[in-house]
Amino acid sequence: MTEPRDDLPEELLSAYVDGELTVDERAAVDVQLATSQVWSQLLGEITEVRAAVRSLPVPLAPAGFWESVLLDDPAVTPSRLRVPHPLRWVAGSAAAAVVAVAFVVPSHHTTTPPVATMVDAHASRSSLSQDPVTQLAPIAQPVKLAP
Amino acid sequence: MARRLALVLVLATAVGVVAVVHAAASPRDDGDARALIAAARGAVTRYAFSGVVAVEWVAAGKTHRERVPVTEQGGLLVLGSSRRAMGTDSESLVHEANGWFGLSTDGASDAVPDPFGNYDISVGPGDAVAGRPTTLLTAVSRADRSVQERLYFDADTQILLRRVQLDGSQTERSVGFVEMSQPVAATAKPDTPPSTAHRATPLSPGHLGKGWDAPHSLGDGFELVDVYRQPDGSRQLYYSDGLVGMSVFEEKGTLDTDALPHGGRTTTVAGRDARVYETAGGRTVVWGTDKVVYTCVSDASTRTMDTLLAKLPAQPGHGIVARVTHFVLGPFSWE
Repeated sequence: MTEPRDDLPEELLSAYVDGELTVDERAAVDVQLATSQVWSQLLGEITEVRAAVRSLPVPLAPAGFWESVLLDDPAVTPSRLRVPHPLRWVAGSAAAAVVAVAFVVPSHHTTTPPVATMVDAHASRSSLSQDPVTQLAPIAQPVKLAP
Repeated sequence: MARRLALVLVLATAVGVVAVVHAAASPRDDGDARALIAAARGAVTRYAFSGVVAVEWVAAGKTHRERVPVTEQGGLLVLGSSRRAMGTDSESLVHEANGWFGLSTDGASDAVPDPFGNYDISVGPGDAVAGRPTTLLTAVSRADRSVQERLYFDADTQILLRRVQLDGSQTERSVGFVEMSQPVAATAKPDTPPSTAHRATPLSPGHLGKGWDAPHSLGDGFELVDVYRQPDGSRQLYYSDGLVGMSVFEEKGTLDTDALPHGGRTTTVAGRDARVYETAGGRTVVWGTDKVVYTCVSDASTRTMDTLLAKLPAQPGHGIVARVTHFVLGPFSWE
């Protein structure tokens, strides 16, 4: 015989009504209902609310509602909800501007300078104004990049 | 009256003594120095010789050394064995991985500033270099009175045998012969230099195009001498104070720091975050703005280079347009 539990959450009653509990959970709730007047009362309230909700009538949409939503039929759409022509131009222009910015604004490409080549180019240029031996000798070996 | 006359004579004598002492202490051999510098530039093409040059430079407190063979082949000055560099009167060639790179002054002004405007230059006897007697040229900065360079010229041929660059009392870089054959007058007509795979093209500094910075002066006597378009499209601006040169390379784009070659160190130079490399060929500083990547290469002293870099663009613009652009485009990584 399973003993009633004080830690059993009352939220289990909702799942109990919907038949979503495991076998063990359902057995525990059954024990709780058999021993607790509070739980029995809660179960009665939940069952009543469920039945009341399910008994409510389902309202139907007015004729032509779904057509107006799906097709945006001007004849169906109330005129006060339509966007005036000038604002349409503004909205259209703004959208076009966003698209233009996305494609026209250049994305700065990243670059990495060829450091060793530039050291060579500097020495080459210096050797033409100054002494070629002392300017070219430092680059006559492969450039070693040191910190 | 006699006492006044005696006082005047004493003062005049004192002034004369001071003038003589000053002249002896800081000789102004402008004529000799100018002639020496002018002769040295062409001396290597007037003589045929071979030897070994030692290159020493300091990086991160450590002194590095390399030895480079130097020969004259068919009228061309050839340096190095594993990788070669050549020099003629008007062209410099370096063999790189993808062929010979050439740079010439054809079409460029090549008018370097007068070094005597920026340095006090004196000439005197120097120590022997590679067993040869020398004439020593000493360049003292007029700005802070520190010795910047010592140049040792061969006493007979005026070939520059050794160059020592100093920063304060420390030697930053030296290049000099440690072995040298007896130079003889060159007789061979220079061979045709090897054809180049790619060349730097001289440009008019006044017609660089939109978006390129080319200040005519960087201060400390450094003036824009000429400009080149490199094969990759970047611009090389060559500055000189008559004794030392600095190249400013500009590339459009934003700097990809992760792709920079290893070996450098990241530090702050003249108020900007930069990557710094020390090489045998000089100090290289790389940084970027929001539009241009700058790479400066120079064998100037660290202090001088920092002063020059302060004149170049550093940070992205902070004006209203830049701020609005950053606000709008920043989230989309369009900057």
